[in-house]
Amino acid sequence: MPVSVYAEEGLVTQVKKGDAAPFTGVLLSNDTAAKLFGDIKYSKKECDARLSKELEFSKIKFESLLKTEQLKFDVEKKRLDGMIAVRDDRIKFLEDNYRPPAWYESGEFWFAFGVVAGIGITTAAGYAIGQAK
Amino acid sequence: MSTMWLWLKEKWKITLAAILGLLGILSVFLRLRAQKAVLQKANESHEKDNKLNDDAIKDLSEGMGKINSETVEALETARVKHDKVESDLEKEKKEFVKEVSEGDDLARKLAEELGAKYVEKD
Repeated sequence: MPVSVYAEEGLVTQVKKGDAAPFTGVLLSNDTAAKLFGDIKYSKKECDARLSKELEFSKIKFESLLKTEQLKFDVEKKRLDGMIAVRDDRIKFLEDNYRPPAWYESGEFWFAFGVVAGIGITTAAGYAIGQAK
Repeated sequence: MSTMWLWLKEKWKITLAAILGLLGILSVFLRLRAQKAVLQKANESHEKDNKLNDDAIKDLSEGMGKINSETVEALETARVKHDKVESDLEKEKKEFVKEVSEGDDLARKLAEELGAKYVEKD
């Protein structure tokens, strides 16, 4: 077959040592051609495997980042909720105690008043009994 | 009794002053007691704040440690799994290459794969 017939097409043929080449081109050894064929055949599988590996690694890394951010959020929320509760408690205390109780509201005053009143009543009773005699 | 009454009538100013003095002391005492309670409450609040901060640091540290361990473990498991997949694929490819290199129709298969025309020998 003349070379010009194959001029515009992709061509492949099998030759043995000593055979005439049917067209101008590149001759590969069987091993090299087989390797080239294997590379072509397995390129998609290799690419898929690499992609799957990178995807899984990325997934693990981003899940870890997500967990870390969630943990930070949870810890900070717990801390701030606690601090707000402490503040609320303190504010309530300060509202309840923004001024000291008046002297007449204290237990000490009424105790002293009771003692003085008891002495007074006793004195008055004694005086009354003395007058009646 | 009448002596006491006479004394009270005579010294009522001193008695009144004593009573007012006692009330004044009571008032100051109550004020100081209230201030002490406010300061105690402030200290108590600061202690609670400090505990919350310490707990947060501890929780964060423990949580981060756990996440790191889990991540390292997961990455190692994934690495081993994918290394095996790659190794198996490499082995399969080598066998495939060996098989086709020993066959007679490598050129035809290559032509089909490349979309080229296979030229038969004359």
